[in-house]
Amino acid sequence: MDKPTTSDEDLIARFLGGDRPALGELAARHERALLGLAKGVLGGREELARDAVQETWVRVIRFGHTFRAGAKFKTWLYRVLINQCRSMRPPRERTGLLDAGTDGVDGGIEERGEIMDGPRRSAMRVGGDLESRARMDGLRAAVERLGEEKRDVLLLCYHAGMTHEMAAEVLEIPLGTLKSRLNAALGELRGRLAMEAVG
Amino acid sequence: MTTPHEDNLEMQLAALTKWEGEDPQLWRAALAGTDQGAEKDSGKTGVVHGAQARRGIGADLRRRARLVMDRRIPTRLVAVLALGVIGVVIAAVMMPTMSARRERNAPAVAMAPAEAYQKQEGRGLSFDRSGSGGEWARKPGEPEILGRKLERTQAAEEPAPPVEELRAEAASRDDQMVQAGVPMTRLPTPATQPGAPAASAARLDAAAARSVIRKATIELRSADVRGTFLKASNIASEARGEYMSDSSLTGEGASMHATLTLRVAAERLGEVLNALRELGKVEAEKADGEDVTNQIVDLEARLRNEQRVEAELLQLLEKRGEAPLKEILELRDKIGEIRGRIEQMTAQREKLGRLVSLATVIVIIRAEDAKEGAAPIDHGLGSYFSKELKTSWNNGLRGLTDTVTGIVRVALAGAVWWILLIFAIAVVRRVWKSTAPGASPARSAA
Repeated sequence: MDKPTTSDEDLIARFLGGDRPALGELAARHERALLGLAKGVLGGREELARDAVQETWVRVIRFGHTFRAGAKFKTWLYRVLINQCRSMRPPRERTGLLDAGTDGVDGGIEERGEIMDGPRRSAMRVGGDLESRARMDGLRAAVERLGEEKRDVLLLCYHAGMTHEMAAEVLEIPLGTLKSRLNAALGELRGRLAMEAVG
Repeated sequence: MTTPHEDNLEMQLAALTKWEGEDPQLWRAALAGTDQGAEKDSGKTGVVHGAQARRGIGADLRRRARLVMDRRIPTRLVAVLALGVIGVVIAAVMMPTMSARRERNAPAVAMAPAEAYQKQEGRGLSFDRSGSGGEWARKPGEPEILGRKLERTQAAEEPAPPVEELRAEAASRDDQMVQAGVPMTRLPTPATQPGAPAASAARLDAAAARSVIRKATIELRSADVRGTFLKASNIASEARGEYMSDSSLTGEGASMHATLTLRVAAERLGEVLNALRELGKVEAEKADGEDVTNQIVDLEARLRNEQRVEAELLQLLEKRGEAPLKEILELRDKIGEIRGRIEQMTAQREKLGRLVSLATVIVIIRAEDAKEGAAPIDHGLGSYFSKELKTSWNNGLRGLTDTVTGIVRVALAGAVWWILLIFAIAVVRRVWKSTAPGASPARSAA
């Protein structure tokens, strides 16, 4: 992919100056990535992810003037999105404490009818992608159980095009803290997945 | 399910945040929504419209309601609001209670005379009837019991307590003493046999006419100390039984100094002080009084009792005229002892009466220029500096005290309002943060 000639900061400055297509160019660069990250943070709920991203754009439009010159627009944009996603998550999902006896986040999500099929339903399906789909759902459920801090660190660090430094800036935490949280999150995730594999 | 391989895990994690669907061009909806919102001067309304365009009004409203219900901030706000309301309610409940208590504790100005007397007389003392002879004895404490007993006494229209009788008798004896030339302060005497209203009035009179030994000291400065001394000594009216009990005139010129002790009629104390004030420049003045009503009443009660015993012994002596000489002598000795005590108590009573009837006025007269002679006024720069320094220091301390007092007063008196203000500020901060994007990842709201 060719490196864009115009920077994000220039585009937002142009948009704030009245150049509306500049926002479209920004969206072309970031919207899909934002949607993916929002979907991951919101437990795979695509509809909520769309809402989060749309409201992120609304905030960019309304509060773009508060963006400080010299800062990285992408970092600011992702921070807005993360905040938006966090505010849209129910409190019990933020802490990672889900009800015992439910099938993790899938159970809660199934109740809303907004997510793709859960593991049990997946297991009943017949098809070539059955196993990988079930694996992804299991992984998503395990990530959901990590809690907000670890989950966000994990998803941001493995999000396409995101460096650790940028993730630390988005989350407004020191780089060392981010790395320690990432290690802790990975360790816990592996443990959970291993437990589920055994059980 | 199997544990993903390390590489697989990273790939799968990356896949979790990968968007595989179509490109929804949400920025267009956002832009359209904000445009509509700008027309309606409401950005949030515009967002709702953008969402409604995709999902319909009902679903969007349900989602937003769910988000509002799920958010922590409203829960905290509701908790703080509830605490504030509880605080205000408690304050509202407590304030009338405190006001009522203040009213109860406040002195009853428009109180009935009997109640006023109970409050004035009954503080620290109570009366209780004990024994078969109907004697009344004073006991310390229990002012409320006193009040109840007095009310019961009035309701039953019982005769006044013997204390009143003692006062009446003492007053009659005072009359005799006054006729004999002894200056006395008359205790209040009920004109009639006291019923309930009369007893109340008599008690009020007794409270008003207490026996007080009054003393006053006045310090004068005069250019002519000797002349002022002579004028002051002439203020005492010998015709009224007033006199100068002590006097001294010492020194010469600016160091001349005079002291007088005048005994003047208590009712003329104010008049005498006014006359003294006109004799020179008043430097200092002090007045005090000692209430000896209780001492007089007790003394009279004991005197009356001794007189009664004396009369009984005399009757016994008359009846037993044929008794053995030894018994008669013993009886006479007893009567002699009692008479000695009666005379002693009578002397004490007279002394108290004189002290009450004659106020003591101590007059100190100094030369007007004594001050200049003794301590000349220093008009030097050092004096001015030290004086200003002292004044500034005192003013500073006073200002500091006023400031601290003001802060404490504002903090305490406006506690409820401070709580409400803090709550309002917290709400405004929350709202502000919720509308500012990216300010804090943990707290920013939709």
